[in-house]
Amino acid sequence: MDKRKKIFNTRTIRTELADPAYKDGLLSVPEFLGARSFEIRSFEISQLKTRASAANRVFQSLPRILRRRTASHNVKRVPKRLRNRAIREMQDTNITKKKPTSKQIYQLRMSKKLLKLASRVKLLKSVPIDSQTHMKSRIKQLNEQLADLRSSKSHNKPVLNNIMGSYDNTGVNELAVRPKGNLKYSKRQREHVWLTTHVWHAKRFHLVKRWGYQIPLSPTQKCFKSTNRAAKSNTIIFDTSYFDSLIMDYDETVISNLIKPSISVLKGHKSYNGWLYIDSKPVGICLMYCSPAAGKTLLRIHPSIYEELFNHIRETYGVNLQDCRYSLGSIELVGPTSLRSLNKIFHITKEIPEFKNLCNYNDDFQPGTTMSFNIKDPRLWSKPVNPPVSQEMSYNDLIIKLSSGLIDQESILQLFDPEGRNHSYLNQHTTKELNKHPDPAGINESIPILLTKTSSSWCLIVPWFWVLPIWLKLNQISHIHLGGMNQLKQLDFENGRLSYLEDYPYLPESWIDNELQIKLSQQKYNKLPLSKRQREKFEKGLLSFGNDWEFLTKLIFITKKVGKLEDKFEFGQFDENMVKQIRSVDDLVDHVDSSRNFKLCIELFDPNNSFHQSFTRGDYKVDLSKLPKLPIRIVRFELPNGTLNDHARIYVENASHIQNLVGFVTTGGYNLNRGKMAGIGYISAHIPEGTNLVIRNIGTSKEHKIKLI
Amino acid sequence: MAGSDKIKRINGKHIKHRANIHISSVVERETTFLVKSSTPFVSALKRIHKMLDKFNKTITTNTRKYQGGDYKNVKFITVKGMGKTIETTLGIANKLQNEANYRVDVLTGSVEVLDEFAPPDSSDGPPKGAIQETVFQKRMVSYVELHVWLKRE
Repeated sequence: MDKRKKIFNTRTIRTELADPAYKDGLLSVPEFLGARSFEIRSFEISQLKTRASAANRVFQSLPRILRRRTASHNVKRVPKRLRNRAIREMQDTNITKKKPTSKQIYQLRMSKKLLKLASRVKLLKSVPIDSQTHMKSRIKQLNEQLADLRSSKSHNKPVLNNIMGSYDNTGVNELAVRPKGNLKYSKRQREHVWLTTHVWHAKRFHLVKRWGYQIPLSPTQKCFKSTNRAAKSNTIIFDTSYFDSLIMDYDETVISNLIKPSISVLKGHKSYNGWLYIDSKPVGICLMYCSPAAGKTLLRIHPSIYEELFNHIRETYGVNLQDCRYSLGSIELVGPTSLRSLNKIFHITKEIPEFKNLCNYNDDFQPGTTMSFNIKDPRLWSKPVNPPVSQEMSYNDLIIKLSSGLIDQESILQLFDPEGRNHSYLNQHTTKELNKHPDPAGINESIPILLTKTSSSWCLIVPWFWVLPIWLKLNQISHIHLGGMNQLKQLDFENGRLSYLEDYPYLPESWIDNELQIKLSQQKYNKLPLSKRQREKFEKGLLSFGNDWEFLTKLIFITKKVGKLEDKFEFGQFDENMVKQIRSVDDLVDHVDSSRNFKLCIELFDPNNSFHQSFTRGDYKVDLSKLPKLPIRIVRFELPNGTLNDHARIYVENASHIQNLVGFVTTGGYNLNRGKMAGIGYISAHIPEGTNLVIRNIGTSKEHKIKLI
Repeated sequence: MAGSDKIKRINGKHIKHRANIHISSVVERETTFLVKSSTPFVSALKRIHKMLDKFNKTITTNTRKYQGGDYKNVKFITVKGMGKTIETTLGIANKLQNEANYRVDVLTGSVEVLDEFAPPDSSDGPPKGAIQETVFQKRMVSYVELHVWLKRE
């Protein structure tokens, strides 16, 4: 039956026209009621049928995450449980066969000709020679290519020991050479290195070029709520190979100069997560694992400060260094089932009952808990499996046992040594090969890994070219969730942690980042039509993008020098040197605009600093030719009403006067854990605690009161 | 642990490890309510009622989900409370049994929890008398568990 007829049939409602209940002018009530109930029933049936006949195809009722582009004609794109229905639906629809296009015919003819040619070449056992190229010049070219290859081999490059093309790219006491990647795409990777999972991510994520890498930013599908939910009940995985690692010799004095380690960190029982210091100044958040047994220390840090740190250590301490940016990769796992997920794909070379036992429990380990062991190639098992637990252990005993680390020193030695890492790639097979021959001969079965808990997640550190196989295997686990840089930021925000760079505006790297964000948003904004470019009129001299700390610094110090500013003066006034005097807000705006130098002008409030003390008391003097850095302090708040975005402005009392400006919001938005709008911001340190503050979003005039938390 | 053995006070950052450690399934998550010391009494009661109503055919509109599949075998909702929340939990049991006419079973027991004492975070080194290394201590805590039987019809 064709579809039109079917719909017509389902929409007709059966009725009894000649009513038998009405006979000879008398109405038989029971019969009448019976007939009406029949009508009502058939009306209901018709409604149900209509709904069913007009129903969508089966793949259209799937949740967004299970929908696929080609599901309408390729049943393999539909989940298995719905395939039968999908096949039936496909058979129902009348598909007319398309005529072959001329291009298709041409391609078929060409392939036929090529096949003929190939068979002829095979018969002659030689390749036809291009008569136009001179033989001598051709030989010369080939010789040059060979010489090139030989010279590149001698350049500190280990010999390839696998068909995957994996090799250990470590710079010993110098920065490592950027990997060129696949020859086909090498031009695109000249400035921004691709992660090993790049091609996988490019199909599913928005990517961003920063700090010499192409970094997954966020999935193309909407995931704000699902990320929050998955972090509470499942696992979210992040490829964080763009975080840079270096390995240096174990030296307690160097370590104590760089971080503030505890005894268990120095002994190698725990990893360190916290501030890294250069010349006693905090510069960034780092992860450090010291191994006195191996005589090495691993340092993993954000790519924005890596090169500075590398050069600092090399020049100041003179210890042996390995630049492992492109030889160690990492995957971060967030959520209570993180360890269970890893358990499903890890097949450990030695029996470690403690690790297997972890799969049954919620993750409740303290930051710093570290494990290290060797695993087998995860691709040798077709599916993720729950490992059989041979001996049950109490969870509390596990926590106590793991607090002193679960370290296999041999794995650490292998992981921290360039040759050891290169050896892990021995006979590494391609996935294609493994799918053809699931149990190939000569397989190498020892991949060293380091698994450590940071303040927010489990961090898995593996040799660079093992990231992709592990990543692909993790993706086979059902209900695993994915995230990029934005999701890491979201989770930090929801759990009340500061995210590195954005929420530390007083650090030089964060300052550069803020300046860059301002430029990018400005460029994007300038492309909008004039009617949508109305921000400036609300900003009263502030930059319309990002946090304008320079304006705030000058506003506070100049107001201190010249006293309260008037709103407006009819005429500008000049002193004897023909320098415009600052008497009004307009004068201030002119002054700031003409003297912008875009240099870091803020620092974190330090109660021991003598200037900061006098700044909070208000008994300091200002030299306008050399302004000091503005001390700022953090505020965390909720918003009872209204909305909040990043870079909102913070005012004292009300936002009607620009003189009331005291700070900026670094991260703001809806916090799903609190169920409210919330934010993190910084304000000038002279504002006493408990002052009433309001915020105003960029490009708006509406202000909202905030509640400090 | 015998009552006479008094636990020694340890100076350090006290990290309390959770008692609820097993990974729960989706159905378990939807049928278990854990009373915290910060849970307000009335909001706990409201949330438990919301859980119970999902299974009641006469109240809920989404009847199919909670009557079939894995939900079919659910007989009761579990409410757990330990330590100082026992009183709140029993108050909830009282309300559900006497005012809402649910059948409520009360189970008692004790659970082992773990206390971790870490050296305090300080740049100038730990203060005098504080521990230098992490110390672990196990402790037994009483708990009650309520089984609130569902009314499906």
